[in-house]
Amino acid sequence: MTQAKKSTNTGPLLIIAAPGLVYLLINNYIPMLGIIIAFKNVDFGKGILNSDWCGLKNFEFLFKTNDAYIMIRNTLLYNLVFIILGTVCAIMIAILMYEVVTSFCSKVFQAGLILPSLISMVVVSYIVYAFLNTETGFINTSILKPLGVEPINWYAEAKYWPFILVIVQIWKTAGYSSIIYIAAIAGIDPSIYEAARIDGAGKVRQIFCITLPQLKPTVVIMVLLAIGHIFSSDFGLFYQVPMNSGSIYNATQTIDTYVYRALMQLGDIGMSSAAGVFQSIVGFVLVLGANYFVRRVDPDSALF
Amino acid sequence: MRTRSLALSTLLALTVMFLPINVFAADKKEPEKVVVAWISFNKIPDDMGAVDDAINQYIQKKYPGLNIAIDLQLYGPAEYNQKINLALASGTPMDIFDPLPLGAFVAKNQLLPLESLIDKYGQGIKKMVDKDFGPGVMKTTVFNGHQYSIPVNKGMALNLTVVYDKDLLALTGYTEKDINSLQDLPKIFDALKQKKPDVIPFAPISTGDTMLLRYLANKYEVDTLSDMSTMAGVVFGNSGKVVNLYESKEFAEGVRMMRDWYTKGYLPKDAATSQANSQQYFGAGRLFCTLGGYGGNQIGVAISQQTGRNIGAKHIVSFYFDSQAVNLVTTGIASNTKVPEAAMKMLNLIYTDEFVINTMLYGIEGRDYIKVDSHHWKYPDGKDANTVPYTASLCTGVLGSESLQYQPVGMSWDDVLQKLKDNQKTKRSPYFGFNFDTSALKNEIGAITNVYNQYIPALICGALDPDTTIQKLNKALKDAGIDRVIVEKQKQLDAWVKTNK
Repeated sequence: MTQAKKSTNTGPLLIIAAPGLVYLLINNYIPMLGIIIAFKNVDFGKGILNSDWCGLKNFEFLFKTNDAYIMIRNTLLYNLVFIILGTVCAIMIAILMYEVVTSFCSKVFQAGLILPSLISMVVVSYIVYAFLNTETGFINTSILKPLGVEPINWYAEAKYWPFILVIVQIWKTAGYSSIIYIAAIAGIDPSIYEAARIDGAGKVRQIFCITLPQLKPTVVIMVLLAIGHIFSSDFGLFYQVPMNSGSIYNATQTIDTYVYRALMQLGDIGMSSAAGVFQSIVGFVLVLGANYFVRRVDPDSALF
Repeated sequence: MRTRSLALSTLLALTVMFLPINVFAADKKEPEKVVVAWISFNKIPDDMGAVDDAINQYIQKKYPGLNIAIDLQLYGPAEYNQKINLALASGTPMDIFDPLPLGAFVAKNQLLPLESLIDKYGQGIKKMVDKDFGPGVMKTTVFNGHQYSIPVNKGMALNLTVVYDKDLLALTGYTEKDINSLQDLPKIFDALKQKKPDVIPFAPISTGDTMLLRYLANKYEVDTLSDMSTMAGVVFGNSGKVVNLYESKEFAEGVRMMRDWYTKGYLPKDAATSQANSQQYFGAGRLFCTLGGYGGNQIGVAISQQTGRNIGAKHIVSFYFDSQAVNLVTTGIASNTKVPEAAMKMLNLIYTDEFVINTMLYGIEGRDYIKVDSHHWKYPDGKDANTVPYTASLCTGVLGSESLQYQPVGMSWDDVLQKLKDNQKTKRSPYFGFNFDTSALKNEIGAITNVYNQYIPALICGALDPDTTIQKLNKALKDAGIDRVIVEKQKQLDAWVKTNK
């Protein structure tokens, strides 16, 4: 018995997708040709295409200096903390949001969750300034002074900034990231929870035995995507929030801020392109590697 | 079937609608069009057509042989560099612009060498600049033997000036005559602190900048060798030897003084990072004085108008001309221009023709401004900077010749003449005209810039302990490669001295 070959007519689907595909091609793929800028000594008198090649020379400035170790260390460590802590907080928020039953309450909370991510980093940096500035900041005048502690010059001491930046970043992004997890949790079949309740499992048990394992594929996807950006950083967070204060560079300098500061005077687009290419290639390799690793451990969870 | 083909054709139609429609407008005007892109600190006017036409008609009438027309483009300071870079990289016509910083544009080969064009069509510029400035000024924009741009012809001597609140000074019992140097200030600060403890005695003029480095450079006659932003590798006086400014005893003394001021409470505790600028503090009546670099004698008047306080200014250290003091604001022609000769002819008019430059600045007489006498102008009755159709009145310092520009009513013309006299009088470094070619040392300069940003603002605002920090600073500078920069600068300087003495 022959199986009737079901021919799915993809013509109309392709036409619907056509504008989006053309846009992707023009905006995302064709500009990739610009990678050559990173390997050229750009001379506008000759034009970009005719400028001389200079091999890997444009990449040297990222590695030759002592600052290189600091900025790469900062970028990587901050991103690792953001991924781990960010995911934990987003899942916690999602689980809590799932328990909110009243429609009115849940709408209020949803709006409140997204609000921080809509605020520009420049505004956020001034909010932080209102807390941390030495003479009139909230923390120095209303918390430390009544306790009799000396006011701290926050913008001059590097040791506080890992905590400050992590807190600001989580505050800003956890709400937005939790949306994906809220959707995932909503997709879990409620009958599993019923069965667990009948068997006598409490809330905490349910969370650890049902919710978290069901979220695993989503978590894997989100983490894999985040790993692709592990050498990039949010410029606003690391430049604006510390108010561009030099004394705390050891804790706040990342690859993006270093490149910006170093090249503002030189204006060399070859070198700045090299930094971008470096970040992208490393991210690409890491995503492939992480996905391969996940595929070996748990084939269903891998991205591709 | 019918609905499906209807949907299909609608989708196709929509897709086609969004295909780029190429309208090729080939506009060949008879007079050669020269695009002039410059910075405006005023509101950007919506329509510059009327001003363009006014200037073009004037040019046709007075200089029919030139056959050129102007196309003015104004951009705000925040987006100016981006627009320029975009135009240069994409090939959009842009012929005349202000390259800031000059060195970067030269390194990227985006400026046209001007020597031959100036000889043919720019003799007026040379005569004007020599008259207002003294000979030799055009040398400051020469890199590797080529003249890449022309300095804006204006008062360049930004003498170090103590700007202070006159009312607060009166409270202390001291007078203007007591302010002659930075060392005179602490006793005035002490007197002020007793009378008004919550007024800040001294604040940086802008974030993290107490002008200490500029003060040291002018007082000790230091040529920064085209490196005003990081001052890595400088020459004292005419010693001919390039040294690290940050290892010098003058620097250490200056920083110790600032530290002393900081610990005594003369400086605000967040001086190094505070985003509030001195003008805001003055306006609120919370600041006594600051240090700035200004030309002429009228800056007190100008700041008083802007802040609503009674502000005075006392000049304490004279400026010292090195190349970069003069080539900070210059005008050049893009290297990919299609109309180099027309551009140079236009530039010649901008520098030498009174009507052209004043129309560019103030718009059309009668509509945008009223000429009060041969040197002054004011807004038409009932209008101001925001309501006239066109004005660029705050941009007098970025284009053309100051000696031809009209002044607003209230600013004395003598002050302009004074500024030009200062140009001639101000002491010049023996290395005036030397420009440093950075192309071989970009990595080091990038690293040094980062070290500078890390330590210098806090050091010159007295927020860090000098004895330990200067050591750390110099070690970081060495790691960043300052020794290589100094060696290279010395090499280039020696070669320049040989060919120029």
